[in-house]
Amino acid sequence: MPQMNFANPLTFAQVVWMAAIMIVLYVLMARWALPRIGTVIENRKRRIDDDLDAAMQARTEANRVIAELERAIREAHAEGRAAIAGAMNDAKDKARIEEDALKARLEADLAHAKEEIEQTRRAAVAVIRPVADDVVRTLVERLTGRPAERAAIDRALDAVQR
Amino acid sequence: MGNESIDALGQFKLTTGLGAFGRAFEFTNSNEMMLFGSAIVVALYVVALRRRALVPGRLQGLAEMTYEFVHQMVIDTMGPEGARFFPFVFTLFAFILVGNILGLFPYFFAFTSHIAITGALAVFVFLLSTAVGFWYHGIGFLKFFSPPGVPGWLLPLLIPIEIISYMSRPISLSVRLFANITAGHVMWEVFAGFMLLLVASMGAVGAMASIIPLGLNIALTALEFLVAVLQAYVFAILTCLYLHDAIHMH
Repeated sequence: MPQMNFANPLTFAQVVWMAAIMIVLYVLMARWALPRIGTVIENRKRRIDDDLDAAMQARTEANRVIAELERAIREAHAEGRAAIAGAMNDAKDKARIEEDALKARLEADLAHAKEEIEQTRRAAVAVIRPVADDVVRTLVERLTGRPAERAAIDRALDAVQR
Repeated sequence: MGNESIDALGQFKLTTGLGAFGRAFEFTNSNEMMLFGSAIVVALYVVALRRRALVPGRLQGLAEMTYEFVHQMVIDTMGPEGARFFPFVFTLFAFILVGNILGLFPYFFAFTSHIAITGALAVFVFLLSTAVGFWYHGIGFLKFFSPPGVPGWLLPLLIPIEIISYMSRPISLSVRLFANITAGHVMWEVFAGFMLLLVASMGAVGAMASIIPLGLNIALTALEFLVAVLQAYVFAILTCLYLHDAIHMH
């Protein structure tokens, strides 16, 4: 087996050369290739993280704006409803006041009219009483042939009048 | 023709490489492959670092994947302290990986099939991790050999066992890689040689029958690629674990 032929000087010579080659390879990797590749990977990772951060921020901002918009819409709705309710209340109040005023005026007119009717009636009664009195006394005197009794006539007229 | 035998081990024979230079300085054919493999690794990073694109191309992606794979392995096993050993583990992993994979190509030399090579790597890992242990813990690193929570009367038995198991680490580490690569290449050679023997001894019938070893070799090729990657990984992760033991002592 050539691998076990330690009498061959090449068996050890290859190890020495390997050491030389590996040292060169190690120095090249450790000093040059690996740090640079590391930087490239690090830069990419940072770039991706930054982009992700930016995207995350943009999303947060968008959410905030949407929330604000929704809040504004809700407020506008509430304001609108409040305005409508206020306007309706005002209209109702105004209508009630006008109605009350109208009612009051009508009642006053009614009372006034009643008063006038009453006065007219009283005036009429006052005018008709002496006439009725006369008529009743004359009737009673013609029918009975004696002067009529004053008190009885008054009583009868009062009863009729009532 | 009939008494031709299979030379399964000739592929491991060391010769000198690089012509007169190799003959003068005993630069072997295995060192040629090491040089070639290292050049591939360096070339990969030259290409990867030429553009330093934000969105990597294929080669840059390969270079970055390898970097991140080894980096992850180092940090996962050793913790943040492992970062200083990352270039070493990376170099070791890349070196063994390209060595294993290049060795799979016909007429290429598989330098990881040499026990002298894997042994030297393993002994270096062993010495490094031991030195790191003493560097981190001073003489207290010797406590690594007496596991905590063991009754005192067991210690005379246990400490030698621990020491033996510690000392056997470079042996298992080197033999695992050497045996895996050697066995695969020998089997390849044996099956391929068997095809030639079949044809030589049985003519047309033998040629038909040699489809079987050919199929075996094709299946073996897939397996050997897996083994090439896996053994490089195993060597690297065991190096990480040994360094972890040296740093954390448990």
